[in-house]
Amino acid sequence: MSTSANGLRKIVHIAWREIRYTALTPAFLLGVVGVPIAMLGLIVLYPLLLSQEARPLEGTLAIVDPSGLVGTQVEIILEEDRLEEEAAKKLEETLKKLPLDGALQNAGGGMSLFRPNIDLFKTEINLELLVVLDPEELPRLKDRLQAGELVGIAVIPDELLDVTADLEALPDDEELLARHESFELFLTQDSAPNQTNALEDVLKQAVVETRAQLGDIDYETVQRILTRPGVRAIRVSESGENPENIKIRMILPIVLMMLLWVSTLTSGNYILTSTIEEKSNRVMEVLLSAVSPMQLMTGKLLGQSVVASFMMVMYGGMAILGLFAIAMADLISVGLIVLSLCYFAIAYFMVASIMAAIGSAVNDLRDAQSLMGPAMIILILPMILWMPITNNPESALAVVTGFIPPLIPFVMILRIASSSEAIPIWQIVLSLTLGGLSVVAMLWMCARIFRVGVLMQGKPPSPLELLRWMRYR
Amino acid sequence: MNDAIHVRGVSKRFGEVQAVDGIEFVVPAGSLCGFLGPNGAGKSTTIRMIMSIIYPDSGNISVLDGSALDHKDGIGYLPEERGVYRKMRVGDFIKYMARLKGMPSRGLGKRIDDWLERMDLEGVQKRKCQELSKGMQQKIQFISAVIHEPELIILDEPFSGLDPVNARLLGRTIKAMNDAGRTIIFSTHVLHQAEQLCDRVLMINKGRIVIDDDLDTIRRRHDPRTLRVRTAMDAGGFKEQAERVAGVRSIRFGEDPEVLEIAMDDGIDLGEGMSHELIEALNTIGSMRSLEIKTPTLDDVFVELVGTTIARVEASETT
Repeated sequence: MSTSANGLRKIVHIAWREIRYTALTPAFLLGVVGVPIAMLGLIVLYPLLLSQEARPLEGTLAIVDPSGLVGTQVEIILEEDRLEEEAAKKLEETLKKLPLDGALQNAGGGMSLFRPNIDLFKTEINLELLVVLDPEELPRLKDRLQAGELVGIAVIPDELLDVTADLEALPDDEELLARHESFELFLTQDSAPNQTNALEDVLKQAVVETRAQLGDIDYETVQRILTRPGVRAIRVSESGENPENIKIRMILPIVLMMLLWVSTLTSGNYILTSTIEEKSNRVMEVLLSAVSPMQLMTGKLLGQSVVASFMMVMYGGMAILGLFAIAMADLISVGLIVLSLCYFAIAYFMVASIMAAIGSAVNDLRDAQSLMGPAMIILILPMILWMPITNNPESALAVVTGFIPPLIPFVMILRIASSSEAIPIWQIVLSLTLGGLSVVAMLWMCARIFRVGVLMQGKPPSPLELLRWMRYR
Repeated sequence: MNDAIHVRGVSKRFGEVQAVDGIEFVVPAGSLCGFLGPNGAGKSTTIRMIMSIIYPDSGNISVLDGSALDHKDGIGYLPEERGVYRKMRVGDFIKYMARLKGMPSRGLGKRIDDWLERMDLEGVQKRKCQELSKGMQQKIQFISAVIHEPELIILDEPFSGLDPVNARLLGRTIKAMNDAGRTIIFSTHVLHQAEQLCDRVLMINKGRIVIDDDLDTIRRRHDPRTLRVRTAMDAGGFKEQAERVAGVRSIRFGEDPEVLEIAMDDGIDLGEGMSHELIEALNTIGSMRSLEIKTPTLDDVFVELVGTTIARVEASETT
């Protein structure tokens, strides 16, 4: 077997050990795989759990309303809600009979996993109304409430429906003012918050609509007048017109950058701790009798790169699935994925080689903290730059920082994902070239430090000493 | 190939400390060589340079007619610092090290079993390294250093930390490997073990080689020219009269008060040609229960050489 093949085989063994004792451990599987899967499960189950646990509002609601108008309006609103609910349920039944069990609905070119217009968080209301015109009945109604015969009593004062009243001209009487601005709602001790909210919403809506009637105003017209319009932003370019989703467009870059950040930092951290462990367990010299420091470092970097890629693919895959779910898959392109992987490689090898060098130079994690500065700067700066770059991906700041080696992967991902216009190809090529060259330089420097550091014991070195180690023979 | 290791004019300095100072020696192929020296003499530094783990400031080292880097798979190395992956299972650890040393996976399990049995460690494959005692971990590390049957075996303090039974077991194993044709060099402080095992001794002190020879030559060269006499009479009276015998330089009591150690002048033959006159002269003083020529042990040589160096250094420091 040739020397290079033998060396390669050794590197593969080291890499496999890194994967085996990092990714195939209960701690990793629980923390890195289990938690996101559990979160995903929770996202799916949460609404179902909520819908099943929300107590429906059932029983008799008494409305003390001398005008009798609000009670009628409440009845109309409840009937409309009931009809809407029935229509939605019918639609759901129809979808279930479609292929794919109705779970997926083709909508606007994207896939939607959402149910039709059924609000899972809405409390089901099944009320009987008891409209009482005489306010003198209130004490008796309260007795019935306490006896559990009623779910609530709403007392609608006449003043509340007086649409012509000038509130500022009223005498300074708090009680009078309160009757113009609010109504009383008596509830039992055990009424749930969701039931109270549902009851309040219906009653408030009924009061507003009654006022509109009394003022001879078409409520729906007024509502339409007062509703602020939405905006459908459309980007016009030479390639055509593309609809813009500003919120998603703002979130996507940070999601991609965080993916890069988390997978890089986690794997870098694993390299740091495993190198320190090998030093503190004194197994390093045994290893160096079998492999060269360069082979050891390469094996560790490659092994952890598989772990990092796994995390990247897993979390990234979840994000892409999420985009499919909300019919925004068109925001992700094959080009963006390929470039993300390229920038991931640059970020990973840059941070991981620094971590390996630091791990080789110290004897415990506490000592490592003092040397973590450079790695942390690389990781913190993108966080600071996130907002200005996503706000203006073509700014001088964005372009310049996109060519500064340690920041290249993070800044370029932010730029590419947030820019509506394609980033000039020369900028991408230049950033990849500079990134690749800086990875080579960083690997060389860190390998020099690693080679010396792995055999050093005692006091942790200063940054200056690390520079001196690079020159050691 | 005649020499497994050839060290020529090698020096190494760590800051202000000259750890190794222009040493030269060879370890012939097939030899079992003890590398002796006091603490801080430069043994481990020399071994690490032989292994190309660190590099000399000057001079050069040839290992198996090349560099240790080119022959990593042909060398078995047990470093002074004992280390295992604490959370790895014993079998996995040995297998991992064997694979890094270029062994194919086929037949490896059987070989691991054989070695564990040989080192009295049956049934520990599935246990985690951290569950084993320090001595057991040391034997595991020894197995992982030699399982690939290397041509050259370098052991740095292999006996330290082992109880006498395991030290003897390890000694027998080392001897057996040497008998099977392996070249072995090991450093140790346990001089009697080196004496029992080695056919060649290197002694280093203050970074310099002070002895590089086979054991018989060393003993001859450091012959203390001393007779040990056990008398049947009062040892004090015997000493008084014996001091007047021609050729006697000095006499002192041995550890046993009935034993006298008589140092003879350089011209007196204590070998086969020992004169009858001398024996007669001593015998006339009083009857002797035994008369023997004291053979220098490595301990004696070690103490003599290291002690002389220390005395010289102390003398130069006071002037």
